[in-house]
This record gives sequence, C-alpha cells and structure tokens, in this order.
Amino acid sequence: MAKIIEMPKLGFNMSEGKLVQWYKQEGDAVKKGESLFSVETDKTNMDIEATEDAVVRKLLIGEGDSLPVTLPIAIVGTAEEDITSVLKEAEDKLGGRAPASPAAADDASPDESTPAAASVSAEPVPVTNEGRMKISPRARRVAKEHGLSLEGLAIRGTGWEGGICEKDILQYLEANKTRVTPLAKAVAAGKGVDLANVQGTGENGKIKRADVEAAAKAAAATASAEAPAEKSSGEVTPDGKRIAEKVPYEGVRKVIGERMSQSKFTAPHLYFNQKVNMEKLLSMRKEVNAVQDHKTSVTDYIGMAMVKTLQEFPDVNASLIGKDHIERYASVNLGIAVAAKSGLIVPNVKEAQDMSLLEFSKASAVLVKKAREGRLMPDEYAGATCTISNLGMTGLDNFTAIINQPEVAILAISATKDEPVVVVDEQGEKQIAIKPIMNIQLTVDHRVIDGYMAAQFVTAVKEKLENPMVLMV
Amino acid sequence: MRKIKYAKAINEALDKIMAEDENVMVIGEDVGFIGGNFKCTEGLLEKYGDMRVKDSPISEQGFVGMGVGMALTGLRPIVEVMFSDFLLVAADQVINQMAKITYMSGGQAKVPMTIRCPIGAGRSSAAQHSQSMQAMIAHFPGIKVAVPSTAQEAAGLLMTAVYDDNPVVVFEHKMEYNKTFEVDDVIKPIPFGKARIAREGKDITIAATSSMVMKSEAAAERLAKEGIDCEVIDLRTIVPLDKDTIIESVKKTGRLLVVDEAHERCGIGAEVGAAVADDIFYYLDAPVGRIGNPDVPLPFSPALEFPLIPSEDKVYEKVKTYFK
Repeated sequence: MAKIIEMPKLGFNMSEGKLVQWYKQEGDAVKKGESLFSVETDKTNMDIEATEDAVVRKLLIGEGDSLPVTLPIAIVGTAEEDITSVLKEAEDKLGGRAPASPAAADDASPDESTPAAASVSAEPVPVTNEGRMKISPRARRVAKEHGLSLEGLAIRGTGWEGGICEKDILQYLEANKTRVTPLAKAVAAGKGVDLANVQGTGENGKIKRADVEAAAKAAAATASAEAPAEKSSGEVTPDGKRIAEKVPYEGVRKVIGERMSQSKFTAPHLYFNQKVNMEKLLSMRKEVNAVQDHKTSVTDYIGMAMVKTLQEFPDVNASLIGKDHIERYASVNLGIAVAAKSGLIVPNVKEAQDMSLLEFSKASAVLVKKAREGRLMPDEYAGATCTISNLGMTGLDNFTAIINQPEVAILAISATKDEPVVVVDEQGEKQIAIKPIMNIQLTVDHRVIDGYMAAQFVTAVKEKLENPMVLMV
Repeated sequence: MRKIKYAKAINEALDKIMAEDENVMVIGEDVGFIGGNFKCTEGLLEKYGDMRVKDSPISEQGFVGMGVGMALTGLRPIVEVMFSDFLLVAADQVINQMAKITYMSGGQAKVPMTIRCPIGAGRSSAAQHSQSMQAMIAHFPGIKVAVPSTAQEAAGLLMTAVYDDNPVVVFEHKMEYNKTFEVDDVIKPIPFGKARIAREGKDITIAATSSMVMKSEAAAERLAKEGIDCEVIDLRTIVPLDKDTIIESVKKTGRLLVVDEAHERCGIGAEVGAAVADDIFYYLDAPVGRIGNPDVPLPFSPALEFPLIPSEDKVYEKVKTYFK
C-alpha cells in the first residue's frame, strides 16, 4: 500500500524543515532502518530512517528545498502498484509548493491506497504510563558496560511489551560505531579516507559528507605540511594573499553564522556591565558540594540567579514575534551556551522557574554533557526564553554576547579573579580588600527593553549572586 | 543405543538394583502378582521371591510406614505409591516421619528409602488421580525430589535414589510409561543436583521437569524454524536444585520460562524463578515466565482436561510472547 512520507516535526518549535539530502532515488528499495533522507532543523542535521521495507516511488521535493512540517515529501510503496490517487492527494496537500510532475502512471482505476501518517519518525523511547523508561535490567547493564548514557537515548524497543532489550542496545551500539551516511561513505571511498579516523558531527556522532571532506582536507594539510615546498605553490587571492586552505561554509557553521548575523543586524544591541563579588557564593558552593553527591558549578548559581530575576522582570523573559506583538512567557527556559565539537549550541533547561538549585544543576549537567557529545535532541535546544554564556573558564575579563533570537537578552559571564576593591568595615571606615570579582554583561534588544530596565535587571542578578542564600530558597 | 519403553527402563533398573543389593525390597499395591499397575515391577516377584517383593493391602498409611520402619533397620525399601495423589493418604508417614527422623534423632538414624509414584494428567483419571505432587513434597525439608523426563532419566535417577541414604521421592510420569525411548545399552546412575541441557540455544531458557522437557523440546523445534533458539534444561531434581546451570543459561539468553505440570500457584515455576532471581536480575531481558496447570482441580472429561494440561502448544505460544 502506497504511503506518503511527510516532512517530520522533530521538535516542539520546528515549523519548517529543509531537505538536505535524499539517500534514495525514485525506484530505489529502502529497508527498514536504512536512512531515507536527511533534514536540517534550526540547528542540526538529522537522518531519518525508514520504519518499514518499501520502494521509493516518487520524490516530491528536491535537495535544498524547505517545506513546512507534516507536508508530503515523498511516496513509498511496492514496486508495481498504482500510486495515482496517493500522488494526487500529496499534490493537493502541497498546493503547488513543490514541483510535482505527474508520475508515469497508467490509466488503471485508482487503487485502494490510503495515505498513512508519517511513516518515518525519530525513534520514540518506550516508556511506561508513569513515564519510566521501559528497559530490561539486562539492557540497562549492557548499556552501562558500554558507557552508553540512557538519558534521552532515541532508541526503539523490541523486547518485552515494547521495552528496550539487550538486542536493541547492541544494535544501537553497532549502528553508531561508525555511523555514516551513505553519501559520506561513498565520498570517503572516493577520497580514500578511513572512516575510523573521522569524527562525526551528525546526530549521535554520525559521520556526514562534510566530516569526510574535512578529514580529507586535514589529511591533505598534514601531507602538505610534511612537504613544505609544495605549500608555497598554493593558490593566491586576486589581492595577493596566499591561501592555506578553503573550508566550506556550511552545516552547523553556516546555521550559526546566519542566526547570529540576523540577530545582530535586526536587533539593536545594548550592553550593561556589573562587577559581582563572588566571595559568599564560592563559599556557599563549597558547602553545598560537601554535603551531597551532585557537584554544582558556578554556572548553575548564575543560571539560578537569572531564572529568579527573569521571574521578577517578565519583560525580559519574552520574545518579539513578527512586527506586531511581544510574547511574555510563563515558562522560564534558560539556555546555556555550550562549546561543542561542531560549534556553538545552546541547550535549555525547561520550566526552570519551578526548580530548586540542585534540580536546575542536575538538569543542566545532563544537557551540557549531551551537547558536548553531540547527542542533543532538537527539543532540547529549541524553545529557550533567555540565555547565559559563560566563558569564565578561559580567564577573560569581559566580553560581549549576541542575543540568541528570538530572545531579547543574553548574559555574558567572565572569569572570577581576585581584585582590590574598596569595602566599608564595621566602623564605617573604607578599606581596600582583595575579593573574588566577576564581570557580567547583559545584552538586551533595545526594540523591547529600555536601558533603565536592563540596568535594574543586571543589578538584580548581581545582588542575588552576592547574597546567594536567596538562590537556595 | 536401543529402544525400550519407559516402564521397561524402570523395570530393568529395579532388577539391576535388586540383583546388586539384597537389602533392596519392593513393596506396594499390586507390585507382585500383577507386576505393577503400570508394569514396572513385572517379573520381580518370580525372580526375587515374596520376601523381597511384597504386595501390600490398600493402605498407604500402613505400607509407607512399613517402608520407613524397614529403612530404619538398614534395608533399602522401594515403595510404590500407585498415584502421587495417594501420598496424601500417607502424608503423616511421608512428611512427619520419613522426612524428619534423621533430623530428630540428631543424625543417629537414617531413612534410605525411595518412594516411586506417577504424576500427571491425560488419562481421564479425574481430580484425585491426576495431580502432580512434586511441588508440595519439595516444600518439606528432608526429602529429595526427582522428576525424571525420559526413560533413561527415569532409570538413572532411580538408581541414585535407591542408594541415597536420605529419603527420596521419584515422580514418574504416567503418560510416559507406555512410550518408547532411545536409551544407552547400559544405563548408569545419574547424580542428583546436576541438570541436563536437553537442547542448547541462545534466545530463551526453558527450565522444565518430567514430561514437560519433551514437550518443551518439541516446541523448541517449531520455534527454531521461526528463528527463536530455545535452550531447554531438564531440571532432573527439584531438591537439590541445580541453580548454577539455570543461572549460567539465563546469563546467556536473558529470558527464563519454567514449565512444570503441577499447579502454577506456589509451584515449581515460582520457586525456580525466585531461587535464581538474585543472580540473574541484571541479565534478564524480560520477566520470568511460568507454565503450570491452572489453579483448578483436573476434570474427568477429556474435553475439559486437555485444555488445562501444559502442552507443546502452550510452551510455543508463551515463548512467542517474548519475541513479539
């Protein structure tokens, strides 16, 4: 029975997907579990696998085309069947959005084909009615032995009552060992790149064409470094600069670039600095970490201060939607900028307004870990209401951040350093003392937030950090 | 190898033991002149005389008690109880005397006695002659419990039972007596507490007793054609229970199904599952399953009786639920 494949909705906020690549062409057979196509969401590329064996009968959009989610992108079925009626239905849905030439259908009467809901989707993790992951003790043990984190694992269960069994874990591990797109595999073969040495940047570390090309380039660069004579004979720009290498501007790099320039060029950025005395917070953190197992980070306390301050300033926990209204959110979903292998990514802690510091810290730790490992699901980086970016670990004194649109503010956090500061002692005398001082800088979108409010906001954050007990209650 | 009936294998074993040891006696209803209700003692009266092969009155309490007394004097009596259901008539002798005397005498008295009795449904014998008492007897400390599967197993385990200095109940299966099996030319005693891997497999462990071993093997054949590779373990003895073989198997397969013909409630399935749970928990890919008789008395009508008995089909269907 012919079925319509739809543009999958891979996140709560995903409204449109861009088809990056078809792994199958019309007439190709696709097996259950094989990658059918790759979709670019707002921050990453995801391969979508077939959920059953079929033959690709018609591709309705081309590579590079963007389409709203749930609209038809392809028709699959058996090799022989008549797809006229399904094709017509798909074309009606598309309403001329994509070139859909009539298939070479014969004049036979339309068959009984009924369109199905999207027959491909990201794998749902099986859960019980109470929301507990359905996974056998054996599978849990095997996952642990292989160092596979079960947090947010996208894996289908084929075991007892649809739960995850050992076989599912082993297949997942096998598939992800050198998970590679068919195209990347072909490119690798052509360029003679050993896939074992390629770091994948796709979902769960899947190797994509760009990764293979980067690896090939790196190998070539190494080779040319070993033979410096050849290097000087490289390309030269029209104005005389010698080119060391050319890197394609694409994928995550391009997405980041487009989003940042869109933000900086449309939102008038305004910046507000504060110095924060971290003495009390650092000692409190030490105490908190001493009395329980989970280790809290300084970022967690700053994040919590942001969450509480955002509740006091609903204007800042907001977005400008289109040109006609501002949405203020009941949810405080705090984004945390993470430097991942493939580039900047910002997972967010959802509904943080209801969390204690420890809850926030644990939720954040899971997300940051997944972000670094390139295992974030689209839902985990979509839907932030405000963001913090901490570069304190690099030791820099101050920096300026660009707002992560459609948010209206971002807090840049720099290193904590001992500085001489003027303090007033018990007798009211001014003294110079050495204190751990951290610079924070708030960036706001002046279309929505005025300077006075931004100044109040950043000061409110500072006050919470200097009296950190308020973060614990 | 040769082919003989299950009852004949037991008969040969009895003959061999009686020839070896003059302290071995056989006693029970119809074991002499008739040669046993299921023909297991044929020819023994003629060969060993009526001092060693005794027909008893219809009084289980009496002749089982007599066996306990004989054993205390140093004889090795083999007492045949015509149906395992009748163990209940002799329950005081079996549970309070036979099982306890060694303990209560501080080990001064031994009871090297064997009770043979058939279990199982399938002959329209109705509720009082179709029961499988192995789970109930295994509940009481002091009695070893053997549940042989094939003819060779029945003979080999019986030899070990007779020479064991503890009381043993050997549960034969009444539906097997008349079936023909392949056996070794010379059947050797089979040690207690060492299960037999009847079929090797990697997908699920089926631990079975008595006739259920053969039914499970037949189900496994069918399942193999569908790509499900069952390991079938013949438990051989419930007391002592070979936990190690089950644990090793489940570590490999990740799934355990226990098949025994006694009633499911408080039965062998529950016991075996719980006995190995500590060791297999982190190796399980699915809950432990069990198949037994449903918790109702067995009816006389074959139309009602057969659907209750654990069968090859039931094992097949149950295993399939693990691989949906």
